[in-house]
Amino acid sequence: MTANTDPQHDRTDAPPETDVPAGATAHGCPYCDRPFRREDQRTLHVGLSHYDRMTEAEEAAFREVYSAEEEELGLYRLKLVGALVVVYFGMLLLYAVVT
Amino acid sequence: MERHRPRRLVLAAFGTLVLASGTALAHGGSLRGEAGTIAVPAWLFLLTGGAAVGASFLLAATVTDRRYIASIDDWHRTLRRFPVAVSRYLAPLLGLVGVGAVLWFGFTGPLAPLRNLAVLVVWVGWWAGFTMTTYLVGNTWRALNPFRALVRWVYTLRPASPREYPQRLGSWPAVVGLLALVFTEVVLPLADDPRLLATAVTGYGLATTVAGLVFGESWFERGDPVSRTFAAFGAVAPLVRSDDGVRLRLPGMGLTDSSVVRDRSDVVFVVTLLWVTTYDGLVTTPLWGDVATTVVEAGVPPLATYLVAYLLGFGVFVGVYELAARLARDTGETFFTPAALGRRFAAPLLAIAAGYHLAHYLSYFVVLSLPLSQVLANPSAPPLNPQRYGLPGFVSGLELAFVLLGHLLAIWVAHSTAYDVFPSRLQAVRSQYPFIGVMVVYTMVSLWIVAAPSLTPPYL
Repeated sequence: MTANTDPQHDRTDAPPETDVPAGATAHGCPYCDRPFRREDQRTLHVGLSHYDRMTEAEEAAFREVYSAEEEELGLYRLKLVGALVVVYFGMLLLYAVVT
Repeated sequence: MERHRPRRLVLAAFGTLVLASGTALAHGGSLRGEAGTIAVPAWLFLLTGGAAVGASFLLAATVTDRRYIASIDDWHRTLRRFPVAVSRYLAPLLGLVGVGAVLWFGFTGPLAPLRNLAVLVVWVGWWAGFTMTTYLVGNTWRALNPFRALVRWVYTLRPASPREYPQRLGSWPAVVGLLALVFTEVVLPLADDPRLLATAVTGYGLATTVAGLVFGESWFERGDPVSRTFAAFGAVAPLVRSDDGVRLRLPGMGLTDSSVVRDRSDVVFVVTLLWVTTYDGLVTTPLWGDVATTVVEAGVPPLATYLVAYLLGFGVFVGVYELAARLARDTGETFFTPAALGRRFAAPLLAIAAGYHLAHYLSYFVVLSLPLSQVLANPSAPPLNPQRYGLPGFVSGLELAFVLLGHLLAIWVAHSTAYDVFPSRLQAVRSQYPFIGVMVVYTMVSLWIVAAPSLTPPYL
């Protein structure tokens, strides 16, 4: 994504230190062996980090998971706004009561 | 980038709003009882600071456009490089003249601290003023460092290859050195006694030069606590030296580079930097005064009280950070080891340390820059009654704003790093929960220290 353009950013796709506990199922990336807890995480990783090497099937899967994530993010954003409202009015009420 | 402008404006406006309310409240808190300001109980003021940090995380989390986040991170311009003459000859010369003057006036100058060039140059000019430039502009210590210059010249005159710096030492000498330096600074009257200060500078200078002669310049890259501190602050700064010139980037965006924190010793060094600045402020609070008095009256020697509290707090800081990294493994649903997560998310703490340093030293620097300039103008015969600048009342509010600003920057950097590390965006946000929790608590602690009246630590 943003790698390689900048010598200061020595980001690589080499698998950093991971550790899969015994009994857990890991979904390994076929290109760099990085393990993931969930399959959709691996699909996203392949699309983001190995977009130049992935197969067409992987690309289709990536697009699907990505748009599903988009929907999930919409809901999450609503929750964030809800939490913001709670913080804001919580503080407002607290100030009204205290001062 | 153009099409994102409205969103950025909204973000900026919101951030300013949060900050402004935080600052206004802070003002009420620190100037309680003064006519015209609202009295706010301390707990509410601290809670507001914590809420401001929490709210900024919630806001940052709503930004989910990968490309936009990366574009902020990657924005840079390459400026012309400095003439080699400046960095190779002029800057080291300035450093050497500086350290020479500090030693000369430290050992022979007047005893009144505000009339002594050594005291003013070291504390006001260097540790307050110069340090500010390292995170606000860029780290120039590499070029200025007189001890490094000495080592370099020795190796040019007598070409021999230095011993290789052992990898397993990592940054641990810097961690131990920083702990030792700051503890010395807290327990000894280095800012009041020019002779003692000059002795301390000699001691540190000898130690670091000898280590530099043994290991060559790599000692200053890894083991020298002072160089490492300025390099760490320099990662926050907008200007950085690169191979093809000076690189300009947005403040704090150097912190997303994985080269800032390479291994566990680097993580501990970053946490140490945060802890020592906190401890420096902590010992001047009335609460510490009460605690120390009680403990010492119970029969514990004062120095041991300070040392135990120092090491205990250091342990707590490292422990809490590593706990957060362990928790992030679960909230972020990842197989990364806690150590790997700890490495990636330690650098944002440097933004907090920089904000805290600015809050802690800004008024100190401004007030004492008058005696500093007077002494610099006439080192051998400074005015008999040194004057200080007065400060307008809003400065205390400004200080609290810097603490919050450091945290806001840290939140954005962590957000950006999380998007870099994790493929799923929800995973990226969730991995931040433990770190944000720690940050909220730390904001409240540091706001409490900054706002508390500053007393002279007892028994020192």
